[in-house]
Amino acid sequence: MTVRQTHRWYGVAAVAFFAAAGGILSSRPALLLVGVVGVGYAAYARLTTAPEVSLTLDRTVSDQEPPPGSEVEVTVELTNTGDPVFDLRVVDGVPPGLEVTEGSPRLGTALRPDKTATFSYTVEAQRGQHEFGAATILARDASGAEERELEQATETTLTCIPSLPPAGPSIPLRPQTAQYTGPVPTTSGGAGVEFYATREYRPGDAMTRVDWSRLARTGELSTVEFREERMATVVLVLDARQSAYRSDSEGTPALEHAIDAARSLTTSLLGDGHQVGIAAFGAEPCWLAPTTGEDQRAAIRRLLAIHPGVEPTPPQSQIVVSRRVRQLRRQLPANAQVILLTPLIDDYIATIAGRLDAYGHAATVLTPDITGGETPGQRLARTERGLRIERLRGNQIPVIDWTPTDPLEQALGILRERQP
Amino acid sequence: MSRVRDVLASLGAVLVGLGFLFVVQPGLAAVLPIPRLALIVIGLLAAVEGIRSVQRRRGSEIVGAEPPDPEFGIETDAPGDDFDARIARLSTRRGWIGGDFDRVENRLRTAAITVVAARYGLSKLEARERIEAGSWTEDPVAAAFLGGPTVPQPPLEVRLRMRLGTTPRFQRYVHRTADAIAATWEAR
Repeated sequence: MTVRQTHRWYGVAAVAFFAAAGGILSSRPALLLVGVVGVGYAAYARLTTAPEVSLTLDRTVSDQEPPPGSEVEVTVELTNTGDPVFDLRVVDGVPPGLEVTEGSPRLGTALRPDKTATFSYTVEAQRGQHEFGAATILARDASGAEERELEQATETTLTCIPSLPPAGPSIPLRPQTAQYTGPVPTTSGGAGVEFYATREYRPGDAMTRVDWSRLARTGELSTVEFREERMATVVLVLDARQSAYRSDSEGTPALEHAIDAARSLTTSLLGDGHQVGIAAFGAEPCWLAPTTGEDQRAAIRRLLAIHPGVEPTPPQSQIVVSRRVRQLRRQLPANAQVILLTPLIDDYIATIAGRLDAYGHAATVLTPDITGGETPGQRLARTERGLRIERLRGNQIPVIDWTPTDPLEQALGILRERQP
Repeated sequence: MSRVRDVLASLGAVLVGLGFLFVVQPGLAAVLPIPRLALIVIGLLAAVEGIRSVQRRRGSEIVGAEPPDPEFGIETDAPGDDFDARIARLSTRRGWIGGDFDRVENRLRTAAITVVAARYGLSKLEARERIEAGSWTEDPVAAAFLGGPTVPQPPLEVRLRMRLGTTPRFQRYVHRTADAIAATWEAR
């Protein structure tokens, strides 16, 4: 609690004393009276103190687990359990990740003992676990010369977990895969469905794979090899450093677009039978080991909504990304490929994509384009991002340049066309 | 402390009451034999207190709580806004302040070299030479900003306009260079 003098009556005291002095020295009672009235005000301001405040705060929300985009009504009840307060101002602790769409989270009132003041406002639900902060309360005496500032907390949490889309566009994966049979073509021949090559017959080859027509034609015994198709292990890596919270012209941070894309990709990859995991370079270490199945789908859905490593508000402290990268390298299965979701706002993240690729984790970069073209700085940032994309592509790392106003499918289609 | 204050406040209230009584019944004032000299002293004391109040007011600001503005959620910059803000902060009408100039120039030069190399299919070294010679862009201001000593200054008319305009000169140089780089990239 803070008690402070506002100093707002100092000027009045000066005027009062001068008037009184003038009245006395020039023997003019009227002037003296003006001074006396002023001195009265100043003395009152000096003598009164801000009231001791004793309040209880009660906050209720219309839905504690709302769907994203829905309106949630927040009602705050303030009860005076102490002395009367003439001037009470309250600002509720709306979580930074939520926006007030209707009403005001503020109240100014006088409050008698045992009376309750109520105010309510509406927020729009966004993904995340939003904890309401303490309400700021200001109490002043009638003169306003002294004010008391305190915080009144009550626990309220709003949790919003968006569901994963029922269907998502499939992403062309890099040809590096796990040992299980699945839909990703490899560059090695073996058992499969698509013709890959023929080779000399070796004892032990299955009779069904002997090239009988060739034997009839040339008399040589040979074996047909099919392209092996395997299940991939994919880790979606989210860039959640401060720079990923830069926003597009609509005010939506790049990370939100990246998370939208991650949701769609999770659906399509898990649907195709791949193992999917999640990692993030954010405020907190974030890792979900790749696997398949419904449980994984639920775990990813939850992680993308409320993990502290991908919070909807920018991290307050500097993130040591090199440490996160080292951690990720230790956690990644040897055959995992990574899809890095980043706005590509700086050179460092492009370097990391290259490094992961060089370590043997085939990397693909999916980058939501949030750059604008209104100011020279924005145009320069857009150009530099374009240069980073070119550099990555030059290093054989596929880049999906996605404009979030277009469907993700469109950007993925362009990548498919680029690939041989 | 508060006891002393209460006593003084009561005394003050009694005196003010007495004063009002004298205003209503001036005849009563004659009962108190206050010499003229004492009145002058009281008047001067009031004047001194007035001066003290003025001094105290001058030495202090009106203070008050600054409650937060929680309505608007998070607001973050678009990419490049930090660059604009830094340029606006550092370039004043008197010239460039602070030591960040090299960083800004380096960033523009690095971007220009890569863009020129990509646009004209040159090596980095050739692109650097072209920028040094000032022949990479048609904008004389951008060419002069990144160019070597052999690159001519922008035409007198352009320089005059930059001097007379409201935007600081350095800011104009940086903006035009950034735009020339972006234009070269888009035209590739």
